[in-house]
Amino acid sequence: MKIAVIGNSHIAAVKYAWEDWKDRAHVLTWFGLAARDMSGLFPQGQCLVTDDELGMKHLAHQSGRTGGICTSDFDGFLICGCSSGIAACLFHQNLPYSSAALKVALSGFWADSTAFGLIKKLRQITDKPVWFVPTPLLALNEAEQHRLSRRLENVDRGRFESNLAYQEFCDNSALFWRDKLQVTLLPQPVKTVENSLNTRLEYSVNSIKRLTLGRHEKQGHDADENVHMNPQYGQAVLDAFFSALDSD
Amino acid sequence: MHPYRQQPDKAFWSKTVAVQSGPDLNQLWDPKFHVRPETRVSAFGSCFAQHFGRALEAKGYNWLRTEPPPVGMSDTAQRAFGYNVFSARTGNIYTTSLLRQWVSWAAGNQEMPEEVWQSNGRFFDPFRPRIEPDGFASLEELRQSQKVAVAAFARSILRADIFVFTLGLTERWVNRKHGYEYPMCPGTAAGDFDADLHEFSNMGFMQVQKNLIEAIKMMREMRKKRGKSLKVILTVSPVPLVATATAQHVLTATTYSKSVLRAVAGSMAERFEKVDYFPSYEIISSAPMGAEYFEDDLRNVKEEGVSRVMQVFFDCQSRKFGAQPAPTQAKEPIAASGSDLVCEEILLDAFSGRPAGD
Repeated sequence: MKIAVIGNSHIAAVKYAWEDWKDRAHVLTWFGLAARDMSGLFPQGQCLVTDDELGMKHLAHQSGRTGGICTSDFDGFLICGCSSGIAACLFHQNLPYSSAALKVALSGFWADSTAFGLIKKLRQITDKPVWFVPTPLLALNEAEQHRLSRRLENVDRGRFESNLAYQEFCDNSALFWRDKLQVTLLPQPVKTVENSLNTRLEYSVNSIKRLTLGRHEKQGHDADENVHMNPQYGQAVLDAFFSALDSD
Repeated sequence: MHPYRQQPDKAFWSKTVAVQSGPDLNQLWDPKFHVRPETRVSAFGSCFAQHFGRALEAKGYNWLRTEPPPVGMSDTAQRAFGYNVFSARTGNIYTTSLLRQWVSWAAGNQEMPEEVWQSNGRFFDPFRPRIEPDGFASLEELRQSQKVAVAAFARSILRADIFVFTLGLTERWVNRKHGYEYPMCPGTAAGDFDADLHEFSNMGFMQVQKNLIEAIKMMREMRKKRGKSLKVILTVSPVPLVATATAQHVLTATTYSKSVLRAVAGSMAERFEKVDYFPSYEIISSAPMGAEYFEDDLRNVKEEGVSRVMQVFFDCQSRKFGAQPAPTQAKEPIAASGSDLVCEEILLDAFSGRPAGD
């Protein structure tokens, strides 16, 4: 299948994993754009474009295609990132709110994400399959883990430590994405998650920045950077994606 | 020389109200307390109290909220679920007796009654009948929410520097058997009316004042345990009654109710050093203002009326305590038209045979 992969800085981990991918049964084309520029995309004909000249150059830079993201060129779309704040929402989903309030809050959280806005526009011009891998949870060092552990005193700790809270959050979120935009949610692979709220540190060390117009060589993030993930994480995402692709 | 000769211009109708397009509102209030941007202010009461907290926040002041909504909830949904309407999710507290009841639950002096209303498999809280738009999914969920709200209300008393309470009504509905009070007549917002069980009463000055004194006393005792005093600002809602359960015309019933509440608020401010009265009622409702600040229904207060009230609040503060440093986190004001307010009381309008207007 020909897949357009669209995302912000979190696309990098997946792209670098793809560079070392051995069995390439599918064709992946990469469209990276800063999250702040993502909302500037709009449908024009069968393509997503932006009025911003630099933005168009960015889209063309990695994809090697001019004219924006044209839906006729692809069989499906994989959206990466563009959805910060997941841990806070997940945590609140486990506090003593009413079920109705939690459902409304979960819908509101996703509907407010950049990813939702982007896919909504995509849905205006295509009904082809769309998969969505949300922004990864933060990777926490030991001190941060300790602080998090204290927060867990107020909730059912067992549910968090077993990642049950995370899986339930993903199940409920998947329903939202399917119902609203016919999108398949690909949750952050559970093996990369701990305490339901953070990414295992091993998936973040040695993360590499996304290549952009001004950055032609691979450059690592700072050592204490805990937002972006490494190609090992990207590999787990691609494993999950191709599994989903093959099962559809 | 008689005492009037020493009075300032503001003491004479002819020198203020009669010679201006409206009174010099900046002289209407001589605040007792300095409200700084960092001062933590809790706000509860009738519908009009909802404006107060939001206006404070819009100005970058510290509107204390102790029961936050779940992450992700939109502003509209928050209002529908009663979050960020008052400092905690109590719903409207229209009367001083209802305030006393809430404080008594928060102080642990009384347990919240066990009464619950059911309809179509959903559960409704008699003391916050509209807090969940479609009711709670289960009795356990309702009980848990009540516990959370009472605890949050207690925190809003304990953590606040100033407690603002807007007095709204004198008319109330009580459970004849157990003596507790409902915020709304059962059967209007939810539940079923039972003439044998649900009793109407219209409080007088002494009763309104007694309840308010008891509520403040209990709040002070709660804070005293932590070595803190409590400052209270009282206001009276200028919003007329939607309907009266007395035999009176709604206009005379409104005049009675507001007169009692205004008199109580004034007497409390006279009597207690740490209780102040802020005249939002006069700014909106007094004769020289005409109906300038009311919507066409002559009941809901226009946005410019609310802005004027809050402008007077801040101007009077500056006049007394000096200009405030610009707050660092002024926020976009939230739309605050009458139809945005969360007022269970408006449901009574449904029984008048015409739409409520929202």
